[in-house]
Amino acid sequence: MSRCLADRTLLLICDGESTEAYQAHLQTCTACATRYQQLIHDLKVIGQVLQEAPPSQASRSRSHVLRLRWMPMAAAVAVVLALVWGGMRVWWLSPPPFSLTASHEDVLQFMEEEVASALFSTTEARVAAMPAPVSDMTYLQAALEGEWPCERQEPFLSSGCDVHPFPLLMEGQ
Amino acid sequence: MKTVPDEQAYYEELYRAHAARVKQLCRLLLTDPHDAEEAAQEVFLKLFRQCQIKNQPIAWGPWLTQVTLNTCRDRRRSAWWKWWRDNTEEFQEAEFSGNGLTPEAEMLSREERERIWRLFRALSARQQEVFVLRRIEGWTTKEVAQTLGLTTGSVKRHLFRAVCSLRKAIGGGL
Repeated sequence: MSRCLADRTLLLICDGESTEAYQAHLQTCTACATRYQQLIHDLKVIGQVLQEAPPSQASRSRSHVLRLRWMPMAAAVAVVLALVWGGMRVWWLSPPPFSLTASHEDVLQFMEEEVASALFSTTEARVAAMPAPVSDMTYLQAALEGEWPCERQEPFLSSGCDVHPFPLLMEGQ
Repeated sequence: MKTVPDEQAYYEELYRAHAARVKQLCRLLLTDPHDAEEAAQEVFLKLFRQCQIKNQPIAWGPWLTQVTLNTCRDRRRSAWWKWWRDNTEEFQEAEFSGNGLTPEAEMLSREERERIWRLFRALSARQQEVFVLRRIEGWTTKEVAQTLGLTTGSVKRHLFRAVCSLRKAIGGGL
């Protein structure tokens, strides 16, 4: 055996699992013999120290007081970050709070400013003269006589209407 | 004259024979000295109960070692929440450190001794058990493997890694 013994082999020899080849090598190789003796010495010292009482912990520096294991700390930090991120995400995605009961003035203003201009464009449509408003008495009279003026008929409605609203509307002019 | 029951006398004999070794094992396998003391008491309580029954183990030494290992493992599992415990408590010197220091150990500085203990505590539980049973208790590789439920190859691997780590404390190295 020309190659030196591996560290693991030296430990096996120390534990009583030697072979004739190993023993022969130790007798011929100075380096391996030195390493083997050093291993025996170290194991003896370590065993002796561990059989003593542990050293007093009061002499430890403050940096060793709280020996925080990184796994539980990392897990706790990860949970906190996940909660914060989840909370922020929910806050971002939630619609801004607004009052369900908008005031009447707000609704009128909105209709006047936004809706009116979009629906009633004054540039294209012909501006027809609006008929003068009919007095309420006219409608009342028509209702009493049973001739309630028709509403404007939709094309798909089949029911006829004998009373035309235009005469009533033009009556006031 | 009132005679001591046979079981109690038998228990006391076993206690005298194995108390120091059990306490040392607990001290090695558990970081906290209070836990080690309580674990040792738990082991002796189990020994007392075992002495009361008829089917007793043939070899008390290995039985006590196995019970001590299991008790220390249970203690470690239940103490995971104690990782933030302050370790600056003063604890008293062990009563059972009857072995005198060898000349080699005496030459070691206090810092080296502390390093050895620190590196030993940094070993995994399995490595600690293998090292203690193999090098401190003097068990064979086969006995350690049977007790811990490992293969002989695993025992050798754990022992090698433990020795490599511990030798760094005194400047050696494999």
